[in-house]
Amino acid sequence: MSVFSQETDSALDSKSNNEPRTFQQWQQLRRSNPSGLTGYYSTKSQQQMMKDREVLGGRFYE
Amino acid sequence: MNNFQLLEQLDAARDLFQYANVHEQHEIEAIRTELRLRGLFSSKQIRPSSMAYESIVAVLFIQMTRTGQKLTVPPTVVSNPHKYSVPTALPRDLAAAVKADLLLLQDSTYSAALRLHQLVQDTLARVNGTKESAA
Repeated sequence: MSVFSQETDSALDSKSNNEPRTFQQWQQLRRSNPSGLTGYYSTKSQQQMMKDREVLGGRFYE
Repeated sequence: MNNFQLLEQLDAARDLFQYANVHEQHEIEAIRTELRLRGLFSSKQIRPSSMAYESIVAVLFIQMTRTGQKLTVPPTVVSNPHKYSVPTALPRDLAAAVKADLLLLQDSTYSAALRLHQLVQDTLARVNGTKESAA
């Protein structure tokens, strides 16, 4: 069994790390996992969200 | 001009933030994100207390566009915000908002500029799914 098999809803999840998330997806993370090192309000998640907003531009809110 | 009015405005914004429903939370988060993108809230390390502060400022800016509310921040408060129970970062973030053409500053009083009206209107339209008004 892989030690990496655990499913998480983290912004740092390797499965979703390559694709920018939309605002709605980030808000789902805020509700499901607000705190902690990989939670919505973590520094890393907030920095990633800003990057996603810049990458997606207006599509961020679609 | 007194400091009491500013504190009341901050308290009112804090109340709106704390009692926001799910939909309003989305709106606040979207405006907070857009403000951060425009140079406000520049601290690299994000703490729970700073997130609450950022959300309160977002509410404050939304209210400024909806009600025409203005913020008066006397020079004494700008120099020593903590002494007047005003968030330390507020003067810096208001200055950043002026630099980003979101706020107008005249005689220590900040008011919403056209760009802030457009930003709030367009962002909330996108969040609320009415893209045609966000063109």
